[in-house]
Amino acid sequence: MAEEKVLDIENLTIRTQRGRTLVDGISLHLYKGEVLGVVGESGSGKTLTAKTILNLLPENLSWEADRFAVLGADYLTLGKKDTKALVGQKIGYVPQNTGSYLHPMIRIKDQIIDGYLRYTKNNRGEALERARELVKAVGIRDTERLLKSYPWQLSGGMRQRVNIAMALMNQPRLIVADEPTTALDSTIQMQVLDLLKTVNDLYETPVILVSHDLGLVKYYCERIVVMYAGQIMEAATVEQVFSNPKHPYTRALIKVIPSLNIKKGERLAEIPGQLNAVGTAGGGCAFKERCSFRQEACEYTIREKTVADNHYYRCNLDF
Amino acid sequence: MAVQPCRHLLCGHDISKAFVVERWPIIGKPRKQFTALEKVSFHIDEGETVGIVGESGSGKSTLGEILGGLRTCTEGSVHYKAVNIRDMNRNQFRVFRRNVQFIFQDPKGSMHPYFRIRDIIGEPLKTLKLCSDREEISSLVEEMLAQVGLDKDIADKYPGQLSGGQCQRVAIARALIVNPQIIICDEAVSALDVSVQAQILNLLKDLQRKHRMAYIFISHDIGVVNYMADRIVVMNRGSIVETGTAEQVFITPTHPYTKKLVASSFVN
Repeated sequence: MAEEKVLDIENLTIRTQRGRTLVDGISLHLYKGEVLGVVGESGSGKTLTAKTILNLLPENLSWEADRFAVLGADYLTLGKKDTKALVGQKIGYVPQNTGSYLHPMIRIKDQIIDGYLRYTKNNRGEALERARELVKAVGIRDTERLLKSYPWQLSGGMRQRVNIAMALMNQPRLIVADEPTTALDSTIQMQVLDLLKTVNDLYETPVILVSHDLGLVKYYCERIVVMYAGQIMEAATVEQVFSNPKHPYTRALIKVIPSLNIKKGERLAEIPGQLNAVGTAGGGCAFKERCSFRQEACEYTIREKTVADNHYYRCNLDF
Repeated sequence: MAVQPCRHLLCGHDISKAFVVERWPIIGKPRKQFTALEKVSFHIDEGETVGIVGESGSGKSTLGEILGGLRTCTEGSVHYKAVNIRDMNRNQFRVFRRNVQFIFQDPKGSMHPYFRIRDIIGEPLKTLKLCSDREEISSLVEEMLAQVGLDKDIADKYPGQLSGGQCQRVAIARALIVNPQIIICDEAVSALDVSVQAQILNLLKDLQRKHRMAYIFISHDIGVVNYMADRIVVMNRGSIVETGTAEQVFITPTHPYTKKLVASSFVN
């Protein structure tokens, strides 16, 4: 794909003030019209990465990178104000917690147009007109009633639709969805994700879908990045990851999810041990303690490989 | 209404539960009610695993709580070994409490943050008056820790010092220490990471094989319930829409709601 690169991150590292590494040298690329899935368990650094793109990283964390270009703008040289403006105008954000992202004391209609009015010269009437259109587009029938209501009067699914509509207000050129459906029921989860997918198809808006659910990512994404302990373990297309997973962690992750055609009495595959803290790996592999293919070399070195069609993985073994 | 005595270990007849949303001022009679459960019947036998699936608000947790005696139902009855739990005397109820244990979704929330793990696991023995000897409790606690695959030195830690998976193991140990017949697992693995989830599920299955307990496994995750349960109950809006074996319900669902639920989950 020789298309436009929307996101070009090279060697991103996020540290705390005390120098603990939370995200350890990851590289991300996203092309126009693509849906990229970032999967990982809690503590793998996937949300922090998303927050860095949104310029929302908590102040007590610092990040550095060799290259960090979002929508053609270089974050490394861009001033604070410009970064803020860029994120506000061109990046849409769909949060995980549907409730706390919306202000409980402000009506939906005022919240939804707030960001829009800030970055356009249009007046309130026009903004509300656009809000109405978008709210209708995200599948809410009773638009007038919705716009008048407060967030706490709505269900989680409704709020998430409002969040998506709000993210779309400024015609974003990138959408970052951080676990958009974790708090939702499975039937509503599908509606919300279908909606994001429709937006992606219609406007060719690239989407970064951060999730812990490998099954979900499989259905909605074209490319997957598997993260563990602040590092990227494997990055490839969906077909490659599921038909030919290279990294032991990815393989284990696919196996531990109980499938519907599991035989009765069959034992579920498990990954021994527990998630280790980021940066404890020393020189070696971050996954070594839980890996069943562990070798001596894994203790101190790690090889990064890229095989056919940009299939990246980080392991000493060749599968 | 006369209810026939039942042969099952634990069963509920036509359980209904209405929560009072609003009361009339002064008079105190309910003004608005919300029906969480409507005429639900449920039974479980020894050594069996029954899964309850449904979305949030479908009443699956309420049903679990009523069956375990944590809540009372507005209508209907719960029978444990053919005795209505409302008609039980103190001793009978204590036996019931001992034999029906819970594991909750948020293990840290169900533990006292200032209690050591040793005291948390030993607590049921004291409250149910099964054992009062400190040494004996201590040795039992250590045995339980070993059974759930935890280290002995965890006993002197506080819940805040443990990871989610470890806490869930402690919760399992606490449920197991009184040697129950039924464990009600209310979303017991939902808060865990997938790699840890598999460990806990396997542990629960191993323990069941060893102790012949029955599980009521409440979850919204179809894949997990399918793996754990022999029989499955699908709930929607306070009533049961479909029951059957895992294959019947998930591979060939008949009710439109079950079909929708299976189609919208991303399990293969």
